[in-house]
Amino acid sequence: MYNKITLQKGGLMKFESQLLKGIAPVVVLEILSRGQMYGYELSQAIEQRSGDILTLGKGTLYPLLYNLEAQKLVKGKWEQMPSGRKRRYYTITSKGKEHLARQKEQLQELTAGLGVVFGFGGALKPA
Amino acid sequence: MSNKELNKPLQNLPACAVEYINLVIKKMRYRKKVRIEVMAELAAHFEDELRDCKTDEEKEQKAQKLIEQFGDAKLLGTLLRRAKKRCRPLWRTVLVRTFQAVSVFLIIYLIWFSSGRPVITVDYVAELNKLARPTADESLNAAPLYQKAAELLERHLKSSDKILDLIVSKKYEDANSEQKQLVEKWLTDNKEILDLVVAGTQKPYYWESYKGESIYEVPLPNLSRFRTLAYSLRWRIRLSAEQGWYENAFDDIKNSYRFGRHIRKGDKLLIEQLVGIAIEALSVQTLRSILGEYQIDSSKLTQLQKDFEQIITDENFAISFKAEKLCRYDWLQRCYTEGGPGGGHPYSLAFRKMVEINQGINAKKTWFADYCKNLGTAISFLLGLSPGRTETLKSVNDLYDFFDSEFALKTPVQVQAQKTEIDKRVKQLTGRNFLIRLTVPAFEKVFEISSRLKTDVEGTLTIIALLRYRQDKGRYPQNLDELKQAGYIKEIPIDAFSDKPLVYKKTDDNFILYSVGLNFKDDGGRLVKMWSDEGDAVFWPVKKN
Repeated sequence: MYNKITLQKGGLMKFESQLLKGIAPVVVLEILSRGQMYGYELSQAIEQRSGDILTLGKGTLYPLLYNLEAQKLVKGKWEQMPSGRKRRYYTITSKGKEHLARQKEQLQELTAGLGVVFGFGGALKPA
Repeated sequence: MSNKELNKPLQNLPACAVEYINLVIKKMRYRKKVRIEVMAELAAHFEDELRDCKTDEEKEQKAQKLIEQFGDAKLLGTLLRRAKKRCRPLWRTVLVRTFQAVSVFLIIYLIWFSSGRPVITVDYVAELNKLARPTADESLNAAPLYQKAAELLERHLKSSDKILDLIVSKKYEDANSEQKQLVEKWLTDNKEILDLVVAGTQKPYYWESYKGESIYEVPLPNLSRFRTLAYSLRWRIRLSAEQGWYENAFDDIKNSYRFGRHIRKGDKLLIEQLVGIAIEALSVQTLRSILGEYQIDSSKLTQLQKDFEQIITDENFAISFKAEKLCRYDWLQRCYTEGGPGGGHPYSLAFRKMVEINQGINAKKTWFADYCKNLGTAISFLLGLSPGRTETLKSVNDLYDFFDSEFALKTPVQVQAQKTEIDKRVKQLTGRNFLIRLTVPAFEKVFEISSRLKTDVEGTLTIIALLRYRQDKGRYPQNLDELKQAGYIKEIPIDAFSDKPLVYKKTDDNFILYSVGLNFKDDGGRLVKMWSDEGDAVFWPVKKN
């Protein structure tokens, strides 16, 4: 069974949160690279697409999105719903895509390196 | 997105969610527009989370769970603020940082500015006493006699408002016989008062001993009493003349003139000089009234003219500004700190006090008003709108030097001809320093007043000469040249307001003598009011009411 790893500040799994400090933005960018989403939708998508392994802490979600917006990696836009409500959708920018590509490459190299170290043949395997 | 639209989502949420979101937004402490947008996003998140709840209780429970997941409201608010700050454009960041830097600088500057205090190093009241006092023994000073007269006057008039009112406000020619008797009796009963004044006028000098912490606060309680003494003398002169005692009347006129000259002459405060001029002018005016009303024989007129010419020998009628300059120096040391940029900066509370003393007001003070004035002065100084001590001192010196050189050597008509240049120069010298402009006397007006006196005196002496000529020769001279040729006057009087001789026109059995007056225009001897801006200043014939 995989342990649920929560991507949030001051989370219970402190060791993991330090380890995963740089992961959350990459995860968010990856999810957004597949299509625009609003905040709630994004947090649901992270859980579902990681097989419930990763959970983006709610207290982390919006600060993270705004930081990504400040770095011009994502762009936020209000959109009117048919119901009359308005939602803020986030879209990855071209700069965000480039950044994502670089980060993924680095992660792959890291994974490969760790795999060699731990003798997993280039991939991490569960305990 | 408008504020109204963004506020809508909170309406459908449970109370705990609304409270939580509001707390987060409050803890954000950021621009309103940004907070409203974040609030809308959080509300939308809660709505999405609670979408499938059927009952209110279920909503409430789910909302509480979500709140726990969001975490501490203060921490979240802080994180959101930091993140949103990073979103702001560079120009806004630069603007905010600049504003913060300027604010810090202003606070430090204001603390520095407010902590400075003026240092009083020179006792200018002592300097004024040194300046005003001639090198003479105290026994030659008329001041003790005048002061005693003033004190007696105050004591005797305290219980007699009616008499005071008659003496000061009522013209002799408008008084009825009962009023004249009343004043005559009072003058007789209190003869010693005017005797003291007369005794004082025989002294060669008059100087006051000034007392006070600053020149601005030097009390001059006797000035108004001196004015009343002069009016009392005027009444006695008119009463004497009415009874045919012309020599007594003329003696009192000379005494009155000397009294005024004592107060005016020397390096005294401007207000004293102006009071002195007013008393001298009153004396000369009273003399003309008597000459116009009564037939006085030539021998008496000859003696009068001789005595008066003696009195005004070496008289230049000039106003001295030396004491005023000391006032400015005293003001400078009390209103500016020492040292620092510009030699020292203005100290606003002292300024306010000086302006109040100058304008004779006593405004209610509040700490807030003081704070605002101080802030205003500090910013004005910082922006270079108000100069420092060194520059102000230079302006004061330059200004007084300029007026000494311009006004001392020129007549009013010459000053008028160069008015544009003079105004320009004054503006240059006082331009950035409105407080110098505020506290500096109206030089032109003061100068005009002293020129008026000179013209008045010379005009009156000329009238005496003309009346003598008429009595001796049986007619008036054709012109003033003839009067001079006949030896009745030494020089033809020059009108300071035209730089030409006073205008003399012989009529059938009379004459008209006038100055062109303050409009510098010959209006043909048309009198509106003596020394008004319209018409001429007509010395003769004397206007009757």
